[in-house]
Amino acid sequence: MDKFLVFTIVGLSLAAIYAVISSGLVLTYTTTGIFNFAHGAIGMLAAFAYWQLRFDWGWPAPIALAVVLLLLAPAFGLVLERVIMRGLQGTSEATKLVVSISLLVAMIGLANLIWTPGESRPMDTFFKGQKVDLGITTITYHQAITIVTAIVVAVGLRFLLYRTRIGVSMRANVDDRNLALLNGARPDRIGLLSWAIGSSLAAIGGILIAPALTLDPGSLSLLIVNAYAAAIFGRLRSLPLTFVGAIVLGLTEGYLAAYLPGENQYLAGFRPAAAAIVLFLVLLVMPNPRLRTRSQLREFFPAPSPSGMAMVAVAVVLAGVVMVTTLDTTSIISYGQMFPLAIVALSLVPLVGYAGQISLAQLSFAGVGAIVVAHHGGGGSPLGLALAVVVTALVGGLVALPVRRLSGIYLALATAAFAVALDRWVFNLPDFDIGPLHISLFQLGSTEIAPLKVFGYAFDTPSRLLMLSAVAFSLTALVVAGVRWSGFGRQLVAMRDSEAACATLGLNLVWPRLAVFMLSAGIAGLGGALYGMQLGSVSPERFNLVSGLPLFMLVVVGGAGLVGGALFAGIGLYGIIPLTSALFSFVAKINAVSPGLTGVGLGRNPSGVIPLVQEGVRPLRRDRVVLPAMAVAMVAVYALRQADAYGNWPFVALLLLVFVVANAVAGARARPGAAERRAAAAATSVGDLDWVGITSPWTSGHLAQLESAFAADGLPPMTVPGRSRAHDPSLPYGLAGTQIREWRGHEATPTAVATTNGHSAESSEEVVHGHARG
Amino acid sequence: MTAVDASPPLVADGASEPLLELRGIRAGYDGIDVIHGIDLEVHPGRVVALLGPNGAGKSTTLKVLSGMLAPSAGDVLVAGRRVNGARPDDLARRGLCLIPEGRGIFPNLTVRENLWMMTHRGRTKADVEEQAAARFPQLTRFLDQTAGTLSGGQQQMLAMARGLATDPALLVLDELSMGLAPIIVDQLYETVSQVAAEGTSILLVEQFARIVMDVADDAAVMVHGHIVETGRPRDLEASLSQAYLGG
Repeated sequence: MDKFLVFTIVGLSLAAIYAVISSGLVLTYTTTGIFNFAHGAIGMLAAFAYWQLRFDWGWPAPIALAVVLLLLAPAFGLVLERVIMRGLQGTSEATKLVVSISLLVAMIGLANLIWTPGESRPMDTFFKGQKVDLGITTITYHQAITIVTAIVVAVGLRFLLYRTRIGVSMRANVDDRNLALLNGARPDRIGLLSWAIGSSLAAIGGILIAPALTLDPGSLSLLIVNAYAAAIFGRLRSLPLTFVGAIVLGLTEGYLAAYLPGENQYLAGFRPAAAAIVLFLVLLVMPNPRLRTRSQLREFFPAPSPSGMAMVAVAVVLAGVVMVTTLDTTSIISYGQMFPLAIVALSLVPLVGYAGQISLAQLSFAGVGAIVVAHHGGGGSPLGLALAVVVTALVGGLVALPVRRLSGIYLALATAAFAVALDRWVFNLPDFDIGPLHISLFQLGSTEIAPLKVFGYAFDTPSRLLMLSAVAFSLTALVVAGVRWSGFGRQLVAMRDSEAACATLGLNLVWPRLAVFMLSAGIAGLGGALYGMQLGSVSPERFNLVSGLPLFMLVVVGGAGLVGGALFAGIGLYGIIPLTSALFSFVAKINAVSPGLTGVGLGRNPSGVIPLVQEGVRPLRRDRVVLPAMAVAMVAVYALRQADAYGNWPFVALLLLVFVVANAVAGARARPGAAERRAAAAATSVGDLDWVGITSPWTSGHLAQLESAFAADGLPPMTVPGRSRAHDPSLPYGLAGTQIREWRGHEATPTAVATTNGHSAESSEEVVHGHARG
Repeated sequence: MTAVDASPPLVADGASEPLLELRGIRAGYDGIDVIHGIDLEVHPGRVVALLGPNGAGKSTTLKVLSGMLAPSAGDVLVAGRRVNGARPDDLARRGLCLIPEGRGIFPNLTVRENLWMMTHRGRTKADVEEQAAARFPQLTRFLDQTAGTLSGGQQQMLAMARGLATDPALLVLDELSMGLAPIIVDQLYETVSQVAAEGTSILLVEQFARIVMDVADDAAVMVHGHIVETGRPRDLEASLSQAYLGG
C-alpha cells in the first residue's frame, strides 16, 4: 500500500508537470493555430538557463526563477511570435510543423553550442530533501510545489480564457481572425500574449522536471511527446481534458515504474515508450476530424517535366562518377551516405508534397528496411532488397491503416509516436518468435548487413556502393516523378488541395492515402537497406525520431513536392554540412544551428528553395549555346583533375566558378534589350490575354496573337472593324462599342457587342473565348 | 498599415458632411482592380443601399471601407478624416461596425462570449448583454450555448446584437438576407428600420434589391466595379433590372 501511495504521488507530480507543459502547448495552438513542436525545447532552454543562474552562478532561487520565468521565457516567446510565427499565416500545416521542428533542431543546436555536451550539470530539487508528512505517506516539497503550480496554472488559464475580454478574444481569433479584427480585437497583441504565456509555461515545466532527468538537450526537448499525449486527450483544444490526459499519463508512468518488472528485457523499454503508445492509441480512438474544405495554400509545386527529370537523373549519376573518381575512400564512405538518405528523403515527396500527408517516421521505416535486409537479405541477393521494400511498405500500410482517417498535425503526431515507440522499445527488443516467425531486430546492439551481389558482381567497395545508391536514387526519382504524372498522382494532389471536393466527386480518400503511405514507406525501406549496406553494420540510434527530423525539415525546405527537394535534403545534411564543418571549426559551430535556421526561413517562402533555384537557372537551361559550353568546360575541369593538375578543393571551386559564370552569361543573354522590352510591353503575352479588355484596351495585335497561340494562322483573320469608340476614355472598357466579326469557317458574320456599360468586357471576352474554342 | 489618430469616435459635423465618403476608390486583388474608381457617400442618419448583381464588387467595396483591403487609388473618408490604410480594429473601435456576409459570429464561443467581444468603447460586459437582450429578447435563452449551434436566423441576430451593442456611428450590413428564410429576413430588416429610426447611419449591401427598397433612403447600383447610378431606390428600378439582367 505504501508503495502504491508513494508512486501515486510520483505519478501525480509527473502529471502536474505534463499538465503545465501541455497547457502551454494547447494555449498557443488554440490561439494561433500553430502546433509548436519546439515547445519542449523552450522548456529545455529555460532549464539550462535556470541551471546557469542558480547553480553555476549561484544566484538565489527566487531571483533566478523570476529572471527565467518572467523575463527570459516571455521575451523569447515574444520574439518567436514577432519574428517567425506571425509570418506563417496561410501556410500549410506541413510548413508550420517544419518551422517549429526547425526551431526544435536549432534550439538543441544552440544548447549544445552554449553548454558543452557531456558535462555533468547536477540540478537540485526545490527545498532539497525536505518532506511534508501527510499521515498516510510523505510528499517532498518539490512534489508539492509541482502539484500546486499545476492547480494555479489550471485556474489561472481558465479565468484568462473564459472570463477576460483578451482571453475571449484569443479564442475568437482562432474561430475567425478577420471577424475578430472587425470586432476591434487586436490579433497581434493576442498572438504576442499567447506566445509569451506559452513560453513561460514551457519554462515552468522544464525547470520542474529537469532535476528528475539529466540536463540533456535531446531528452528534455523530447519530453514534449508526453505533453503531446496529454494535449491530445483534449483534442488540442480543451484544457480540462488536457489535465485529465496529464493525470492518466503521469499515473501510468508512476505505476509502471513501481510494478513493471525491471529485469525483463522485453519490458525494459516499455516504460519510456508508454507515453508514445498512449498518444498513438488516443489518436486512434479520437472522433473523426472534419474534412478540410478549402486550402488556399501558399505552396505551389508544378509537376516535373520529363526533360528536367532526365537531367536530374543523369546529373546524380554523373555526380556519383565524379565522386568515386576524385575522392579518397574515407570521403567516399562519409559522403556516400547522402544518396541512400536522399532516397529516404525522396519517400517524403509523394507523401508530403503530393498528398499533403505528414510522416515523421520515415527514418524508422528506413530502419525496418535495414533490419529486413540484414536478416533476410540472402547474403546480398537483390531479392533481399526487394523484400526490404515490400516488408517496409507492409509495415507502412500497417501504420497507415489505423491512422488513415487522420491528417495534418494528428497524422504527424501519430507517426512521431510510432517512431518514438520504435526507438525506445521495439528496436531494443531481443529476438522473439511470433508463431513460426522468428523476428530479429538489432540484436541489442548492432547488426551486420552484407553488400548487394547482382549476377556475381558484388557491390562490396565504398565506390561501388556509392554508385549503386546514386543509380538507385535516379531510378527512384523517376518512379516518384512517374507517380506525379499518373492518375494516382493527380488524385493525391487533388486530395491535398481539397479533401471535401474529392469526397464530393466520389473519390474514396482512404485508399489513395493508404497506397501513398505504403509507397512512401517502401521507398524509405529501400533507402534504409542501401544505407545499411554502405555502413556495413547498423544500430538503432541511426534511425531514431530526432535523427529523422532534420531530414523531414530539409525536404520541406527544399520543396516537398519536388524531387530536387529530396536531393537538397540529402546533399545538405550529409554533404555540405560535414564538408563545411571539416573546413573551419567556427563553421562547425554555426552548422549546429544552421539546419534549424534554414527551416525557420521557410515561413517566408513556403514553396521551398528548389523553385527559387529553378527560377535562377531557367535561362541557363534554355540556352542552347551556354549550356553545352558549360558542360564542355566542366568536362575539361574534370579531365584536368583526373590528370592530377590540382587537388579536390580547386576542382570544386573551378566547377562552381564555371557554373556561376555560365549562369550569369545565360542570364545576360536572356535579358532583353531596352527596345525589346518596350516591344514586349506593347504586345501583351498570351497569358495576359485573359485580362485584355479589363485592364487594357483591345488591339488588333491581341487578336493576331490569339490566332497564333491557337495555331489558327491558316484561317481568315478576325478583325476589329468598329474601333471608333474603343479608346473613348469615358467608357470603362476598351472594347465598348467594338464589333467583333464572329468567325464561322470562311463566313464572317458581324456581331454587335456592348453598348453603354461594363457588360462589354464580359461579353466580348465570351465572344473571343467562344471563338477560340470554336 | 497605419493606426488612425487617437481622435474621438466618429461623429459627422452636422448633416452636411458625410459620415462615410468614398472618393475615386479603385481596389482589387493581385494587382488587378475589380472596382474602378467609385464614389459613394453615406450621410448621418441615412440608410444607403449598395445594390448590384453577384460579382459587381460590393463586398470588395466593403473590405476597403472597413480597412480589410487597402485601395490602390482614391480615398476613404470617415467623418471627414482620411482613413486610408487604417487597421480594421482601429476603425471598429471608433464606431464603424461591419457585419460580414455569412453569419459574422464566432461559432466556438458562447453567445455571451460573442457579445463580450464588443466590450470596447467603454462598454462593460453587463451593458452589452443588457443591450442585446433589449434588442433581441430571444437570445437571452441561449446565452451560454455555443453560437455555432444556433439556427441561421439566430446567428444573424447575434451578429446584429453584437454589432449594435456599442452604438456604432455607422453600421454596415453585408448580405444580411443570405441563406435565411423570408420571415427571418423580414424580422431582421424590421430591426434595421428601428436602428435607422434611432439615428444610426446604415450602409446595406444586398444582392436581392427588392428586400431593401422600403428600408433604404438612398441607393446606388453597382455593376462590374462601377457605380452606374444613384438615387432614390424606387427611381432606380429600371437601371436595376438592366444591371441584373444585362439588358
